[in-house]
Amino acid sequence: MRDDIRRAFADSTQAPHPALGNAIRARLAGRPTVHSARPLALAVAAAAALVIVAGGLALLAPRQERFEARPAAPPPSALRSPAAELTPAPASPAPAPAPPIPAAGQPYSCDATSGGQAAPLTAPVSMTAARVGTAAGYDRFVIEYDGPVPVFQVSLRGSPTFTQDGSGRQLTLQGETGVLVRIEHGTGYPSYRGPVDFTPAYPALKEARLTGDFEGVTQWGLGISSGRCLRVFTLTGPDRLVIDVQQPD
Amino acid sequence: MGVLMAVDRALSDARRGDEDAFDALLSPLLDPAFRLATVMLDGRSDAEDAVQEAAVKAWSRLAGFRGDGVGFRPWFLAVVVNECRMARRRPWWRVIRLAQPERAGDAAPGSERDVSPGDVAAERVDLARAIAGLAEEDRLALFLHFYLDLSLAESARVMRVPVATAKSRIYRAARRLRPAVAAEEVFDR
Repeated sequence: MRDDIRRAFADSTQAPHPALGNAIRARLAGRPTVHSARPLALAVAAAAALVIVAGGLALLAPRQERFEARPAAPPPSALRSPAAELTPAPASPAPAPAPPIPAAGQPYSCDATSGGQAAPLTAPVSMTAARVGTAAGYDRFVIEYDGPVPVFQVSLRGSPTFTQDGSGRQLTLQGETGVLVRIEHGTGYPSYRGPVDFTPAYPALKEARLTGDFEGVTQWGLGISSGRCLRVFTLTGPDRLVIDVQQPD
Repeated sequence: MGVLMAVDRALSDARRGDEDAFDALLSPLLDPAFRLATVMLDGRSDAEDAVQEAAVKAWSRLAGFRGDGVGFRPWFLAVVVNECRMARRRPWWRVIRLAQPERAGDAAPGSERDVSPGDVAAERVDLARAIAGLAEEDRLALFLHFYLDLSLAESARVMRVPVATAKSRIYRAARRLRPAVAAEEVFDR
């Protein structure tokens, strides 16, 4: 019974969006704990008591601070605010022209594929939906955006294990090999409210999981069966990135 | 032992205001905390808000956390549960949301069909529905004890009830799913 209930909860609940941790870090950055705030409050109270006791003398005598003002410590490098994602990198080279994207119907390839459009940093494109599907000959993973598909790279990996951005946690997906889908400036937080972990167990596509949404880079990991190649292309109306995983013969 | 010492050290550093140490403590708990929040609240957005608020409150109250035989994990989950309860008590006009229309699947090329992650075997769906039909406190008790694998004492701590109450609540909820279940099967350790 324990296993049945555990599975039922695993099926009926979802993992959090990877950017949730970043949102929390941004809220906590610079916020004092009670511990660090307490000396300040005590010092304020002590200073107030001194003022009362000393009366007018305190106004005449040079005032001695009984507490040190805590300068606002800069957040650690890992604790960036979401706004930092919009800061352009200095002296970044001009983006190379994107290679042509294979259209639907072209042969599958096991080579890495890249493409997409560099979104203006002042108006980043947001991920609005993701879904999986299956058809004769291929399984499909689709990411939908509210604007032109941002710059992306799709590459096969030797294993279905991915590193979760931000936390560094290792995530091993279902399947024998993996596909890493990396999208720049196409954040899904907070625009994307759908599942972050699909486990369709199709013939080729076994799992699709959002493994990162951190510092402007969104990553999906796909767990697939071994020996599969991909067909990667974009569609419009709405704008979406499509990854077809070739099914076994 | 090494892991426990690392947790103790992170806890000690976090109490002194070390954000990275707190981050190291909190990161592994975001997944169970979020799932817990979705068990108690409707929708990912409310659950995310509850976990965020709980994290902020945990950070601000960390200096007061002494352990007292209870680990950081059940302590933080108790903060999450409290935040979820508060969210449910908010006025309706603050939590009501318009239903999100389902989007159609991609029309071209091919004829893909959208798949729900909950598209599983029928009996598992039945069990999930039965769990969803339980009272919130019963559902919470099952989630803590069976899914998060918390002990009776830890489950009681998170629910903020005596251990005996937690035990009876877990057993009652289990019997509502399977009336013939024996206590030994529910509390098998």
